[in-house]
Amino acid sequence: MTPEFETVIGLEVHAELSTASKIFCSCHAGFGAEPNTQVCPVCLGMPGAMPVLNRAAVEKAVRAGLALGCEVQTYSAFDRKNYFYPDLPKGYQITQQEHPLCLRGSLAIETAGGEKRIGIARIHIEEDAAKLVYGGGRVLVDYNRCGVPLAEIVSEPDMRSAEEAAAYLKKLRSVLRASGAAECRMSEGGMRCDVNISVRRRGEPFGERVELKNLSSFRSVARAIEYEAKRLMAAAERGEAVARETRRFDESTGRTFAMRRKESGGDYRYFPEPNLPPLILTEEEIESIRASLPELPDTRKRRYVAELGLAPFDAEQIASESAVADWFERAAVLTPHRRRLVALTLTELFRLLPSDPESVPLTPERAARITDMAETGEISAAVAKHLFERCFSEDADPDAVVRAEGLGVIRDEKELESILREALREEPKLLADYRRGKSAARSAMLGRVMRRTDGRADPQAASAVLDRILNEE
Amino acid sequence: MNITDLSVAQLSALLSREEVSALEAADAYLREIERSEPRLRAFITVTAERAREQAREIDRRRASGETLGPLAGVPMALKDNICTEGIRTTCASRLLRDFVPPFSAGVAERLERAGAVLLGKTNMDEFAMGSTTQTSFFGGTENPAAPGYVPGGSSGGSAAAVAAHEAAFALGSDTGGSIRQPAAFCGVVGLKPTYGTVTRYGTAELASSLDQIGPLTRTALDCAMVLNVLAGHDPRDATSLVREYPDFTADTARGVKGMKIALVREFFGRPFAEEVQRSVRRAAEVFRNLGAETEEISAPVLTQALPAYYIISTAEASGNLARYDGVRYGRRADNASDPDELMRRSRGDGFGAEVKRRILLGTFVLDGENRERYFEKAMKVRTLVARAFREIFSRFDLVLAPAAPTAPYRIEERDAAPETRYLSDICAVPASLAGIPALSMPFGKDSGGLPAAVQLIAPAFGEREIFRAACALEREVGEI
Amino acid sequence: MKKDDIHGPRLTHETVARLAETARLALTPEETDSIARELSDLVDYIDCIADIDTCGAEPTERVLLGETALRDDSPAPRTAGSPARCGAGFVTLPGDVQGEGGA
Repeated sequence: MTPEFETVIGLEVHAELSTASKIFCSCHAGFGAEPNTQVCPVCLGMPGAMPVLNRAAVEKAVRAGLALGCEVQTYSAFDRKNYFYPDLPKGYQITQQEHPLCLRGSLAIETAGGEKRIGIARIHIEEDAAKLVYGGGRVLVDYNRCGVPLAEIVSEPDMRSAEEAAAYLKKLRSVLRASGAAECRMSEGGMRCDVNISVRRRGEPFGERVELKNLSSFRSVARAIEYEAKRLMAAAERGEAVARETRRFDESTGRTFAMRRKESGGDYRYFPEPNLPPLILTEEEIESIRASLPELPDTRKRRYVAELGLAPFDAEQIASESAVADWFERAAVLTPHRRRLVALTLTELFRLLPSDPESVPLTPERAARITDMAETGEISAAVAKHLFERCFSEDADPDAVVRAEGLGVIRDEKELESILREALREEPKLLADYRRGKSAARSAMLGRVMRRTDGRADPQAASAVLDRILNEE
Repeated sequence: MNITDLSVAQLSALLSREEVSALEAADAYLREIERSEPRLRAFITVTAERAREQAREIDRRRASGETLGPLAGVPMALKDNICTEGIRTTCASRLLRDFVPPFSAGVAERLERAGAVLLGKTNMDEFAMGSTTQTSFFGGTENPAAPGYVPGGSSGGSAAAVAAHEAAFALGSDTGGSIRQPAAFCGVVGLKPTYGTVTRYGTAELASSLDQIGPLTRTALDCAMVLNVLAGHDPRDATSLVREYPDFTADTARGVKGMKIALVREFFGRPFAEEVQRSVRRAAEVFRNLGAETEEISAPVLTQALPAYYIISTAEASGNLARYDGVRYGRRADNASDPDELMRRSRGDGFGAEVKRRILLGTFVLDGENRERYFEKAMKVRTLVARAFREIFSRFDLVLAPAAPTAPYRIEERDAAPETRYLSDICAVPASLAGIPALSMPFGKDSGGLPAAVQLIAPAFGEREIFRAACALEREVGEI
Repeated sequence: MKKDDIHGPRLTHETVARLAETARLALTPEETDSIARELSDLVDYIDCIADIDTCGAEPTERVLLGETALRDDSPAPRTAGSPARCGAGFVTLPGDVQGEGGA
């Protein structure tokens, strides 16, 4: 990256609010049904079919707003955003343009340079559009998704790199999940992202911005930003003007390409939705939702740092998933060896859990026991990992597994010596390499012991035995 | 006795005493329809078999001793923008010529529950855009009270059906006079209720902030009886008010003694026809003779409000009609190569000229900088109209006004320049913009023998005062 | 006197063609011309709204006398018998889609 330039990034995230029914009708909002089985006159845009606002959609969006530190508005209202597209049954989307539900919040992310706050300009609620499937010269439309409630969360242009954008998205997802506002299941399109990106010389005003549409994974957001930032910077260095346009990211090539040229703001001919009265909330209603919010990731994170002595980055990770954080807190009081528990949690648990975990199958008691066994040397570090996975996926008791399978650490020198000698006999090259001064050969020898003992060999004991053997000769 | 000559109130009494059966009533009206339809074209769809079946069911229920409501067995018709499950609902458009809704509108359900017997769906201006009922894809309706003349519109089919005794009553929808002006032209009573009183669920929208559904009847008492069934909350329409409504027939015999009625100076003079002005003055005299006070006041914004109405109604309509794109239902253009072309051509072929004009005007007034110049300005004018009415109603019970600026005109004259045609809504739109109730009622004939009418406007929820005055006036005018 | 007597129609053929594109209305060139003339007259007429003094008037965005009406989050049973092209299974359209979509 050219140091004189910086990338300016703002994100518009659409999160499906976790309601049972759609935002303006009582159709099921669930994902995965057969096409067009969750539809009715309202979400299909039939003559005279009118919207009625789902109380839960409001409540969930307020949760999101409060969790993100927004000012929840006692007066908000709906507008029609008019445009034609085959995924839009009414020819307009009901959204909140002039009077959004939430204003002025922020979200803290961990960056290389420490904590950084990203401003949130607004959150409004709106209806999702249908799903289009392309192929064979036809377009297939499934209206099941039409009318699923969305919160659109619009950040300030406060991010300066793809990493920051990715950290923001991860944090946002974690806060939305923890607050009970949204599940954000990435594989189901439960969280989608548009990126606004521009580059400027440091200290100068923002450059012309480009919009990258409909990115559905953190990875594609980061890749798209990286590609686009390079493209914009190259143009800026050449002194070329950048067109204000909407671009799409192609996953397969990793490149962006221009879509329809964006016209002026009058494009969508917004006007107040006459079929919906303004949404009036009382301070009492807002406060009662606030009171029902669970502890949020940032509070937990601060607590883990202050009370449990975790490093901020580790604390952030653990606090990011409520199910993990709940589990971790219970396990943490059962073992004095917190550092190892953190390590097992970050490396093993997160690897084993699905991307949207609801709960942790391994009990905190067993996790604490494995931690203790590893810490006191009853089992090796490698066995600890193996045992963690066994107990996670099989509902097994760690002590029983260790006993039944003889997974305890091998410290017996005779046993270690015979294993080592056998390994050296089978691979004489190792010893020859060692004699020629290849220091890597020594660790290779230790590796053979670990492999032959399934990681049960005590590393220090094995190392001592090896030294003895090598010195003998 | 001719059944079809009875008012709703009279027929209802005979039905409840089992002196007339619902089936006899339905058959009488179906015969009348058969006789008049070829010429009038008040109906798009006649549901004869269904009507007889429904009537038999009512008769069975009554025979079994069930107590039925006053509209049980009364034959009626619905404007064809009111969705009826299993019965095609066309909005008089080529685009929806074969559309059969899978659900019924709230008002259709209410009437069905009340036992009213549906005879069919009435003709209208395409998508309720017009004031002549000549823009229907199915051909225009003729005025039964003045052969060769337009019946008014857009609920011209409903007004004509009631006037020609093809239905005991009918429902229309009124956005800027679409019930009141055809009622005036056909010599029947038509009410646009207070916005939010009658559910709009399932009635194809023209301009959602103005649309209101209401009855067309031959007497003011009938109108109150039908409103009794229509009024009430519908949870499927978020603009439908949660409110207890009184019996709208309660004050109909009370007379107008002591009522204060305002006449608005700006409704006299151009562009209001002299005959029209004369009717209003004569009606005022009748009210005075009956003990009401009348006073002439000035409220210029009421007659200046027409452009605001056209801006708001076309803007909302441009959005409301966007759903008719040939994608999910309705007529689809053949051989389109992509979805965009399919939508453009389905709409281009499916909509008539007036609908296209209004959609484009609505698109224009919201387009870029025009939004502020037209749409925002119109919303402010709307505030002024409401304010003017508030001021008036702080001192008066009712406003007496013309129902239309002219008498009915000949069908050949329908193609006047659009801006002249649009003038015909000038009397109706003030109440529409303010969301307040207004009723148009016959007031004899003008010197040319054409139906004359007047309009009564009340503050929000003032329907009872309207019926009180309307019934008093009706008694004086005599035979209906 | 009408303005187009002097200046030609307020709305040009091109403006109407653009509005028709926005509103997805396929028009023949003749239709576009006649609508341009008619709309010009209408726009001349509605222009007189500028003469009304609206100082101090807040816009009436909705004529609603009621309060926020909310619905409980209880899904209704799946509805069967959607009409025409909206029964179970995909609604099919010809060709490919270009441009932007999505909420």
